[in-house]
Amino acid sequence: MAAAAAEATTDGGGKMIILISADGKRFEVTEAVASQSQLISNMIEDDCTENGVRLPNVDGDILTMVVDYCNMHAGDAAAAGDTMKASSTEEELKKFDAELVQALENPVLFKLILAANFLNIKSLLDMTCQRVADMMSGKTPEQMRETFSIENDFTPEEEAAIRQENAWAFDD
Amino acid sequence: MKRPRREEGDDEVSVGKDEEEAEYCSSISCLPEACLAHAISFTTPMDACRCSAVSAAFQTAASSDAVWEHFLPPDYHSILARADDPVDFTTSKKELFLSLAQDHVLLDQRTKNKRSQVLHAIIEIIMDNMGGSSPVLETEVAELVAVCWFDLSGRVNCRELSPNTEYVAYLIFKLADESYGLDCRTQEAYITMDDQVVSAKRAISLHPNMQDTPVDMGRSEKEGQAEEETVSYPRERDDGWMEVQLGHFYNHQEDTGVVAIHLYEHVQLNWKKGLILEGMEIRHNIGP
Repeated sequence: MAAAAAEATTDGGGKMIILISADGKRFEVTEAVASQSQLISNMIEDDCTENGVRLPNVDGDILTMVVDYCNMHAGDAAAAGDTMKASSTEEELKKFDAELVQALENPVLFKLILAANFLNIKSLLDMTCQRVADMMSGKTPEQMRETFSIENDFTPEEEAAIRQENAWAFDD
Repeated sequence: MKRPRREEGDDEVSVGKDEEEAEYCSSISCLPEACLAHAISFTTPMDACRCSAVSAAFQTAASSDAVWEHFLPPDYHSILARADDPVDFTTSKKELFLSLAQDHVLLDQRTKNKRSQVLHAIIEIIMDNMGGSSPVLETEVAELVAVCWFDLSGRVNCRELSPNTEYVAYLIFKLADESYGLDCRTQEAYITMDDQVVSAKRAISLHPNMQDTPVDMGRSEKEGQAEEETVSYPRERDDGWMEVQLGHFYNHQEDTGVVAIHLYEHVQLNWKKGLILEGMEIRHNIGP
């Protein structure tokens, strides 16, 4: 997906936008693809994407995933336009999403959540947060700490108080 | 070294923070509270409460209104606006949720036009512990709006029933058009008389039996106690309601206690919606 430094040109009526990751990778995408990000969509409206958009807190690997995701999902957004991209079928999309999210290792998953949150791509944010929720489900606090490598920063008294407050959730 | 929106000599627009902040984020503790809360809102009330005990950051996110608002039915505001006793909205959404889960809320003032034939057993919808929110009781009809599990019971004093008579207890209900989560046969029912079990536990289905022709369980089971494997299936009545047999019992002349009919779902804890309850009905067993 990494496109060479290309000029922002028009292509079959669809304007192209260049996204630049923290580590300088450049991605050329159509407006329809990019505007799935509410952030970029707002920028397009404000007409300030002419010369590329630098995203200094999204690194290249993550932006690759985001762009892949947006390309895949552009069908719904661009259905009205005369885009030449064959819009993916619902089944293909589901399969793509499932494979994408299943393959994510923890650190990458969290980075992708941050990117989706920052770029404001709701469907991607929901999907990645759902993955975290699945990892939480049915676990005890101890198991969650282990899953997410979290240190317990409560004093024993504080933790006991919280368990007491939520006692019903702890009796098995 | 915050970048200006536009740099001299470099016309790229730069949005976001500096590289360093993002580069090394690789753990869940880097997520802003809103993201963590968003993830927790996709779990269940029980998971959310367990999250509170993980760490301070988890606790803040797991107690946030964003999470608990998600667990409340989407239209809870308009539903609760009709409550007979005003509902306190000034508490946190978690407190609101838990208070609703512990008690039911009566809406639109219950009317009292009881039909003589039908025993409108007092239905107690108990959802302490986890479960769900706001079973809505409307003019004698209750609809489960969003629960994970439920526990229904109806009670009747033996002296209000004819002595030396076999009775059959039914649940009278409908499934709303957008019902879901109620298609398992894991509901169970039993009947007690003064805490003695008089009708053994049996599995209850709220959906009609699709495989075979519907069986009138009221008749076919009369001969003996329901086998453990037997599932009671509902049938449609002439008045549009469905009824499913919950069990049967014999009211002896000397019986003076309270008969309690129980129906509960504690096994499948997925979200359930759309069980509309008219009540429980206790009828003479007039089977062959």
